Amino acid sequence: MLEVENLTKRYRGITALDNASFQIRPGEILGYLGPNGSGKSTTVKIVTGLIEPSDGIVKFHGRPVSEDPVGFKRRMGYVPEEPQLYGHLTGTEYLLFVARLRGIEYAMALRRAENLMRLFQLHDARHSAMVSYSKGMRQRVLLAAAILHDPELLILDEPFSGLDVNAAQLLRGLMQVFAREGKMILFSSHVLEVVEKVCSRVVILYKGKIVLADSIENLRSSMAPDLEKIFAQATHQEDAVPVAESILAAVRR
Amino acid sequence: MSPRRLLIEHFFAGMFRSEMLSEAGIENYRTWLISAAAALFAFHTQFARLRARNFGQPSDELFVTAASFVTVLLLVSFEWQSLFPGARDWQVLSPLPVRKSDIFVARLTALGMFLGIAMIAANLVPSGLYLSWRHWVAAIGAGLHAVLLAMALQGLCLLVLPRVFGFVVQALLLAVSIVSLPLLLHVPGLRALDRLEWLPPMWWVGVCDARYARLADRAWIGLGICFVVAMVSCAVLYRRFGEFASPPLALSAWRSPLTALNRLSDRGVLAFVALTLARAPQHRLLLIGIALFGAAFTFEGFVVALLKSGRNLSAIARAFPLLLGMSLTAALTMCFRLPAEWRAHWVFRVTEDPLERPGQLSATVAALYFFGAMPALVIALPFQVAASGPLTAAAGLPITFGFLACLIELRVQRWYRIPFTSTYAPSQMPAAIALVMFLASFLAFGSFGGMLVGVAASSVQGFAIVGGITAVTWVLLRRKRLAHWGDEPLEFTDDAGEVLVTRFAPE
Repeated sequence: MLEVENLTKRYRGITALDNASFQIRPGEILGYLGPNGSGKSTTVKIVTGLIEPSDGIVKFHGRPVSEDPVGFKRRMGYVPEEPQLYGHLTGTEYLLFVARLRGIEYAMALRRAENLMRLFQLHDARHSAMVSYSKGMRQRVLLAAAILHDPELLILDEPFSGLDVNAAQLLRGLMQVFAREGKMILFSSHVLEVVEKVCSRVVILYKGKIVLADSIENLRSSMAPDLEKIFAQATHQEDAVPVAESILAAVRR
Repeated sequence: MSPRRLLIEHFFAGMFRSEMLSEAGIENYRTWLISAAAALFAFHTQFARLRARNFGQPSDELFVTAASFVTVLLLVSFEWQSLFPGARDWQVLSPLPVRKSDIFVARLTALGMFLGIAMIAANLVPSGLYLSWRHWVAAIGAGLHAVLLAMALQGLCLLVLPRVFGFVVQALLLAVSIVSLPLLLHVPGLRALDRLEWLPPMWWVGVCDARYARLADRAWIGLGICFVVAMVSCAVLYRRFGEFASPPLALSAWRSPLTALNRLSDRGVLAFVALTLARAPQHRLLLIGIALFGAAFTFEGFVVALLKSGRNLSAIARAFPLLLGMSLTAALTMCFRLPAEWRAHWVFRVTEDPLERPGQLSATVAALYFFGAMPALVIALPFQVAASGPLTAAAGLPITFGFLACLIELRVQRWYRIPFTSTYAPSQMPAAIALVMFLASFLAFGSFGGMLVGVAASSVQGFAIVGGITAVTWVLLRRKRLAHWGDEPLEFTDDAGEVLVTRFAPE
């Protein structure tokens, strides 16, 4: 189980994340939602160890991650928000490289890299430098890189960005299969329809604070029939139409 | 402000920018670049002032035109991608309401401003004040000739030749200009200039010296031909801008043999280093550029030895692998400090393991041996065999390798980073001092090391003494390094606050 307790992050006096706590149980997909700048990516970066929290603790199977960060990283897969990868490498080379960094023996790493390239429909471009890949292709490489060591915990930060319909369906299926296998998934996204379909629970952040954390069933029965309305209520979203009218008026003024 | 003027400013600023670096890295890079240019300018000015005392020989005039030609050729080799509008300009600017002509005019104007400032600054004092207006015209003409020659060649590469030739021609121009730099110092005082009449800088001597007036026509015709080819290329590129600027998905059917380096037990870092050096264009350019300095000094030595008596050819051949090895290792460590996709290094951070860290760092050392020391030995061996015979060359080989191994150990004594994952300043000390120190150590290593290799190759006792001292030094250096190797966390300096600044940059 992944437990995040009272996580806080301050940047030069500005609080980006304020006392956030949540848990992910084995077999669970947790939807992590919030408007831009609400602290989602900050949380993800703290959990993955890319930045240090100002306060709070992350536990994995009851032990603080800080006690054994390497052991935790070995069991975690991560897809970052931006598809940042080494464009001069080919897709296969990148997967092979990540597999080797994760300590997978060469022959097995090569076999997994080639299989994943085929399964993610990147086989035709396997020997081309990723600088020539589309955004969706890069995203698929990142997804493959995140799962090639069969992690227990998968952290996905906007994984649907740039994916076409087929690849998006594949990812949705993959998340469900992973959850069925007892793996944990932290799924940070703006795509509420997907979150509604695949997640059992959601956490909604607003201005760095968790404003809502419950199962989708409970939220539906207590707040609104669909996640979009729940999200709008939780994040104090104004009605979009008057705002859009104001925008149009502003560019005409 | 009109779009054209905005674009000119944008393109001009781009000449001092690198997408490889973060904001803080660019600041350091600019400072270093400007101070290096100032150091070179000061040297050029002083040299011309000294020569001006007995000025009037055609060889002195050739120095002025050749210096201008070579310097500008070096600059355009580094700014090769800025000679014509490219894919990025098309992708960013074509959706905006900006005319294609504005993009082309702005790009060419920015290039003209950049090179114009460089040419005027470099020639104003030496040829403008100490010499005469005719020398100034000849020097500017030679510089312009170099620009148009480079543009014509790039135009032909883009329009006629396969894509790979673009890099080949750029590397050739870079090689010619760097190898010519040390030779320039020997130009004043040359007597047999008739044999150099095929060189474009010599044609420009005809513009300022009546004794060579017959060559002036060649200068103007050469300039005209380059101008026409460059402008025709520009016009064709203008018509087919979108086609050139949006390359299709480059599919390849071959796996790089360098990928096989992944088999080695460093968790793939050596393969990553090899593939980056082979493919990242800016790193490749930097590597070739700095490595060529070593080759240039040796080439200068060979040329001078052949022209003048009293210079020992075998001594120069002995110094060759040392100079080349030193410049290659310096180039590699500088490349390692510059990032390739610096935002992509998160993958190292989420997989960092203290137990594996020494192995990963050792990949850097292995890369210095594989791509620094070994090529230097292999390239220099035929010259050494030709200059001093196979036996002497073979005897000197292990000693030379030992010297290079000690040099590598010295370079990595405090090394805490995976190559290409940090934004780093080229130097932490003022550029002029760094250049002088590098040149001094470079020449000392070449001459003193070459002499010791000569001692070792001449007798068994010499071999035993020099070899023994070298081996002990290497063992001590290696032991010192391994005592703390991989103890510290890896360095990823990508945040503005963490980047080291040069003394010229604001704190």
